[in-house]
Amino acid sequence: MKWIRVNMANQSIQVETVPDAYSGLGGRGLTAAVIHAEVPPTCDALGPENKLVIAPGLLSGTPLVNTSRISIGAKSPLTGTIKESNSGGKIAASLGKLGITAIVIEGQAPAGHIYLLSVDANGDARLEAADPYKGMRTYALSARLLGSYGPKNTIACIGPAGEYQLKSASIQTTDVDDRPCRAAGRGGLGAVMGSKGLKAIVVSTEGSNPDVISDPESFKESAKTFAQELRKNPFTGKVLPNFGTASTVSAVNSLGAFPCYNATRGVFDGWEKISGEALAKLIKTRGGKTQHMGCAQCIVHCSNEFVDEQGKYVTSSLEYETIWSMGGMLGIDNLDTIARLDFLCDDIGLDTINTGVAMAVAMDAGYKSFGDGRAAVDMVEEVARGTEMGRLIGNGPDAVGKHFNHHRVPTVKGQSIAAYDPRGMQGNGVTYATSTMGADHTAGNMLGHYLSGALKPLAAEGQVDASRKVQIGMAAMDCTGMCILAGVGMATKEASGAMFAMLSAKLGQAIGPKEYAQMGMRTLKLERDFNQKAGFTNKDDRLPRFFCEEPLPPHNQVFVVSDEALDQLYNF
Amino acid sequence: MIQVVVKLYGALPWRFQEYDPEKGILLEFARGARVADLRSRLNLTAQDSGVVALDGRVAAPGDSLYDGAQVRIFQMAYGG
Repeated sequence: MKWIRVNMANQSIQVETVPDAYSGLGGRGLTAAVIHAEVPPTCDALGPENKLVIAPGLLSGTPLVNTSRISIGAKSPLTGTIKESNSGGKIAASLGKLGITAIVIEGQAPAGHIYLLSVDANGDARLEAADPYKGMRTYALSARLLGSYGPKNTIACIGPAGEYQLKSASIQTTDVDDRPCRAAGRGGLGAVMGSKGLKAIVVSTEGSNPDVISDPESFKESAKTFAQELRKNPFTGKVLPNFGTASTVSAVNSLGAFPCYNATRGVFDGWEKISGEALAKLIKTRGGKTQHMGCAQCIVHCSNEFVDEQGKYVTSSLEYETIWSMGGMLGIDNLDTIARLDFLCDDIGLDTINTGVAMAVAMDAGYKSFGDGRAAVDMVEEVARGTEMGRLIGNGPDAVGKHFNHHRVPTVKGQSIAAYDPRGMQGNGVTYATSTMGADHTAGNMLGHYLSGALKPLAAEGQVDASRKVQIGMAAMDCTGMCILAGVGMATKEASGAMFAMLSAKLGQAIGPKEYAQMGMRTLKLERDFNQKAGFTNKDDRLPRFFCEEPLPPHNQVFVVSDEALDQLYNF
Repeated sequence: MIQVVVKLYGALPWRFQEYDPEKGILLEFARGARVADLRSRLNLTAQDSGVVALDGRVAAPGDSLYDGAQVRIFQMAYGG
């Protein structure tokens, strides 16, 4: 497998075999190992010592379904911690099929210069000047690049937000329809890419040199079993294809844990207008698409194509988190407005979650009114124009809160919470507080525990132990390139058995539940060690005070898990 | 007798031809009925993965229904 190092300072490219220290690693496990080993923890995240690591998962490029998640890692300029952000589309499967384990972007281009990295069907990489693409938004950029390099390519790129090095800048990746609508959104890694002077990476989808699987027949049988389990599971087999992740709107509002109006209430008055059911109905009525395939080798098809009243494309895919951040958090109950905001964020290259929450803080501080969709659209457009307000919004909720001297800023280590209020789902609060990456819901979402009745969402009891297990499991899954939604399929013995068999067949060593958990623990320990060396202590593993002081209607509960309990999370 | 309004989400409404999402379904039960009786009345199976929420909480099969209760039943979700 290939290891590609790109030095942006002198535009040199070095190709080698995977260094021994990183052998057998993939996805988040690999990004954690590289950042831990090669990036000084106290460096400037937007400086030359930081590195951007692009790594497909261990199973990306194999025949297994739902394994095209790319892990992108660096020191985050938003949180100051280590960060892995992952994205769907085609790029992970493409790099896997090219036999590339990682691309490591190092140094910084000379001031004022930007470049483009291309990787052809032989896996050979080239850097070229990208001046004609300076300032381009991602949709226009992707179309231009595919026109120049041909349709059998996939793209990872930044928009104006990344070029401005704003802390909410995303790295957008193209989906199966070649739209840059998938995002490595969280943690400001688009700013890191911009700081290195890298505008885009163009990767051939025609690779035919994947890593050798040591037992291909066993792998094939297990892959079949896993796919069957995904199809049988009601969530992945029926709910997600028909309603997408937006199906979560009804669940979380029914529990009173949907943070709205900048996390001052747990049920949004207009939630039924922006639910998965409302979204599916509107899309079908207008001739858009549900059951849309967004990522390579996906059989779940949770994506959608949102169109306007004339049937013209607006955005893809409109997800639960964006419906929350641009809907409930802002008091907006209009799907057309939310879809427009989603498109703008993808086009400008912004994390929809951090950006929505930044605007929520601004509204809560009185800058604009909740529910003012026009104002929200204008604020996002200001980011692209580089105005003073645009820079504040683009730098996230902490920047906005500081500017307006506002106390209610729902972030941990600078990264905003996601669409689950910690007062209504205490375990998600534990994850937000203790995750190595700031408030990160995918690091350890506990929704399934509450809906199954396994844990009570409003009590402190059991939350830390449960969050620990989920965080370890997620860190392990993030090593594989598997989509978090397909990971639900691992709940059955047949599916998890198949997963362990495939990892064993791929790696040529026995991987069972213990070894899988160790993959996760090793990743978390590296990340935590990096953070500690960067100056973080357990005092940083806390939620903002208002979560502990302001009861959230309708349950009128505050966050009740103690600091002492939070400090037990890393007891492994 | 008690009356309960049930609203359905996900693919659950599809099995009721006349289902009105604004109004839901009005069901009558004998006093003392429980969530298990509701699930049974609606023929909810494990494959439906229906989660019953009552008063903002996930309701267990043994929980009591009461007159005027607003019940929401959605399908199992794991986030996104």
